Amino acid sequence: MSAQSLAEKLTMAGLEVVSLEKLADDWVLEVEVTTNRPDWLSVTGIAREIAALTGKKLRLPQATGYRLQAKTKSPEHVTCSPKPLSIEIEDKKGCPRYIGRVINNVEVRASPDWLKNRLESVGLRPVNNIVDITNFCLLECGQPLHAFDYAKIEAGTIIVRRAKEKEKIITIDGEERLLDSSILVIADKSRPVAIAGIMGSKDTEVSEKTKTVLLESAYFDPLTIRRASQKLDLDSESSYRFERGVDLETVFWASLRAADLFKEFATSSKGGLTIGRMEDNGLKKEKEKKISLNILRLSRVLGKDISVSEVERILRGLSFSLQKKTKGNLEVKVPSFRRDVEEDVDLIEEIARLYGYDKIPLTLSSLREPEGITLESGISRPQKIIQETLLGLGLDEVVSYSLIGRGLLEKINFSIDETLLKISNPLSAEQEFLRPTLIGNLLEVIAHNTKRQMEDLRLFDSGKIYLKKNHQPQEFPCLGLALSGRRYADWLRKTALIDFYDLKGIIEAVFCKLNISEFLIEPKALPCFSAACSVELKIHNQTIGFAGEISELVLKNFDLMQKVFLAELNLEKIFPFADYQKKFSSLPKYPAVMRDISFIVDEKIPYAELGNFFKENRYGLVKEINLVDVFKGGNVPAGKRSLTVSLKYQSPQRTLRDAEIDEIEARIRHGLVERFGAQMR
Amino acid sequence: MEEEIKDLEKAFSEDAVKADSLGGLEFLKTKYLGRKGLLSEYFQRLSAFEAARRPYVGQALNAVKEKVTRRIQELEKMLLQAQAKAEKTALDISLPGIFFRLGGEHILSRTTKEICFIFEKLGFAVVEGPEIETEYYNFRALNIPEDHPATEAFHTFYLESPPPAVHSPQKRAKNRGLSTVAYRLLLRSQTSTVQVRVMEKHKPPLRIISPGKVYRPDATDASHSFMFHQIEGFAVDTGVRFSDLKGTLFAFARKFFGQGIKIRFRPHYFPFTEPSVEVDISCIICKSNQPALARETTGRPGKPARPGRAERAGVTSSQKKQCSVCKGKGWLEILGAGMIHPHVFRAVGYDTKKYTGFAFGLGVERIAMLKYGIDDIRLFFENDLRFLQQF
Repeated sequence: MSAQSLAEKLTMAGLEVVSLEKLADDWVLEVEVTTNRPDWLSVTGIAREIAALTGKKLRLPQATGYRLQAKTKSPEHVTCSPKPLSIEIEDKKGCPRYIGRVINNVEVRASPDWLKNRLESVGLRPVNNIVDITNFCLLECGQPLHAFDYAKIEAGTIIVRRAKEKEKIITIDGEERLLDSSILVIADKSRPVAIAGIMGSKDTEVSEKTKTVLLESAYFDPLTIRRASQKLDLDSESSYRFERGVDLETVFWASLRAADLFKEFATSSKGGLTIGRMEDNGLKKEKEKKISLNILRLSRVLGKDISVSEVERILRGLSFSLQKKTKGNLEVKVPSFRRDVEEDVDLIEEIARLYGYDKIPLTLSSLREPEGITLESGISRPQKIIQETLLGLGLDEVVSYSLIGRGLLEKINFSIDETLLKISNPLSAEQEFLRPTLIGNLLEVIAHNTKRQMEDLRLFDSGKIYLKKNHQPQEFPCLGLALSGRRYADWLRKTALIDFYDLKGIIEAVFCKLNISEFLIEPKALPCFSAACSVELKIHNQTIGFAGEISELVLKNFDLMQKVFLAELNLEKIFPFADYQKKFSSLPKYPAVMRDISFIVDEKIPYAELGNFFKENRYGLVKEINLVDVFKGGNVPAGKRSLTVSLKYQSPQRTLRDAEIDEIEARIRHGLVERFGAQMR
Repeated sequence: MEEEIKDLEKAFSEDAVKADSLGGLEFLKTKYLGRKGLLSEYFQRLSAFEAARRPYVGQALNAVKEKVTRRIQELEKMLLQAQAKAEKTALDISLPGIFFRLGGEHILSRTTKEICFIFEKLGFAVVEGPEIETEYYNFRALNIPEDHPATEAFHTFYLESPPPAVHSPQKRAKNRGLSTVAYRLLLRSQTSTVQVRVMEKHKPPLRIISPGKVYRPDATDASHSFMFHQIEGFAVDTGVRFSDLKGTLFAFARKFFGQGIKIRFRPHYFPFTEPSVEVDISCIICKSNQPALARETTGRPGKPARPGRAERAGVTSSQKKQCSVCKGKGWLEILGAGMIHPHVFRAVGYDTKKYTGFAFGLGVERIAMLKYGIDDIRLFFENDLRFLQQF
């Protein structure tokens, strides 16, 4: 099989080969191992997978192991503890199994070339034969090993315990590390000699002078190792495997295998290497896991019938053993290295994976209609309406970051107080807060674009804002509007700049689309707006947003040279007032009559008052009121302005006579004079 | 009287010659044919004639009126033609039309909408969930154990103040012996949170699609952003099968990327699904989808880049022929999916024997980058109009 097709096969079985590298006479596969499969973090694990995929037999290296067990006769080079070794496990949860072994009379030297090449090919730096052998074993079977210089271990005693508060260790990388009681250490009588599962100490490291090695092969609790590694911000090939979980049974095998390799590659020319008795402490085996697999359920989950014999073949290939078989049920025994397999779906995945995902058909048929949830739920409908309206009005949609920095809030004069939601682990100062407003983001976008000569901007952002309310964090869907630059710029019309009324018109259009007519605009001083143009928007006396012209000061903070008009509406407060019910009313049968009324009034009288006057005086016949002209200067006296309002009269019952309109108009004119001191034109 | 009629006719002829504009013609019309015009004046005088002469004079007058009317019509036609000709030369039709500004939908919005639309057609309902979440919804209920290496894929922003339990499952979590840590507030690192929220409130059958923002504290570069958009989809019912997941995603991919697209399901691992799958589509740029997944490299590759990320600049001359988007692999990873893990069903109290379900999650930025060949994720959030207006 070519390396490429092997890589393809592995990838399609879930062990993704991310690169293939050709060496002189070999290939290096770089694989991405998912966190659930620590058993794949070794050559053996991958070989096992390949065997299952190809149907070939798996052959593991011999670990003859110089097993010294009480009853067996010791081979000549195994001596009964040439040096004393005692192992105490104080924390049995943190370290369920610890195997120590003393290897005497080693010669520390460079590894043979093949070993060096092997290590280098996967990016490990060869150190010396002792360290290289431990690394080789780690890569081979996935079990991290550690070699101590035995001479440096006080009284040949190993204690696996929690570190004492403020205890210190200088690790192999030369760093001094401060420990605490959450961290598991390997210690001798007086001090820690390794941070368990992560890194050994500098002063017990194997050196050229080392004559005797203490070889550690152990199982450390994944969570304990992971937390220590995170706390110390220190990780290693070992910790990577321990925190994912090694195999309790491989702990033993690795110790045997390493002993073999020491014998072969660390014996001095003078000979005399002896391998001490294995001190094996703690749990030897975990409770066997058995899972019942129903063949019918398998095909129901996958949507494909797979025969029992096929299932058996696949599971056996993956080293599962099948205990017994009742009709349609298999009892599957899980090998110890498959910590990830816990229930039947895990087996179903194994079967599907090896069977081939590609052989499972495509179906759509079994899907039933859901009940109770409508296709368009929540806020998506009004949001869609608003978005369409704004796009139609020529606004560009922007999407901006919900996390912002203190600096941006300061730029818009936003007070940084208790109501803000703060991130406890931001990566940068720009991610310190969840934004309480869209203003900062919108101004940033305007600044970005104007700096690049795009000055005519009409933008909206329908993101969320986030605030604490009643001490609870809350998020509100919002609508931010920002306008700047020219209203239009074409050859036909005189160029005009955008002003507040453009912004107001857009807000009115949105409300019109949502069928909300009863909204008010009231002056209200807000920190980022200019004094002259800063308003609050209200529906039924409830504030639903604000709008205004950005103050000079704030503009300066963004290096903006042009006016910006900005609004922010809280959609959640607006939506309850939206009305999507449409009802037909018959078309008018009789013609309408249009009449204009022009008058001069004090310019301090807001139009809203005049507008309300017209609305209140419809006499049942005024259907529409439109302001068509506002004029100052010319022959209009200073301090006054001239207004022209166009009124549309119409009756649903009859054609109106001139005389009756004249009469109503006279009354309206009279009212204007009486109420506002208007001067008719 | 006859004399007068003749004079009138003569006067009209003289006036008609002078009428060289539509305005002049209108004046002519009023003068002779108007309600108070000359002809009507003559007709009014008819009654003054003795009865015997009236028909004769009347006839003569009618004849004149007819002549006048015809002449005026001729003149009008002539003048209109002349005017049309003149206008035709005066109007520069090549001047640009008056500019109407069109608003542009953000490309992320549009992509989200397009994707949701396809799933809505397949019967999925759109539901949104909160961005501020608890560890319970973001991790525990999704079978992501505390401090497990699996959480590394889900770097998460936490909120600072430890507030009291706000979200509902206080009791449930207590019953399950979860620590109070499960109530720590965070910004969701995936939209899968919506699965649990919806299943807590509704019974199957369910078919839900849920778009939204997610957050991960990853250093920002061309292919990473601390905020991005995901779309979660899931279906739960009696008898939902892995084959249905395949069928659904295939239907989606064909609708979204085009009929010719090939799709590949690769086993993967996610804590909340089992079996899990990563879905690849055939490269939409080079369309090569060659079988060889991994390529030969010379020299040691660094940390491998995910296919399709913005690494165009890094393509060296020796790799020139290779597609910059799929890196010669022929496949592009587009989403993660799987059958909902029984642990997730247990968290919401569903009967794991009765119900099965599938779930999938895709990144909107990634899909948009692939579809439009965008090479830097930061462009989405910079909101440069020159970028936004391209779509």
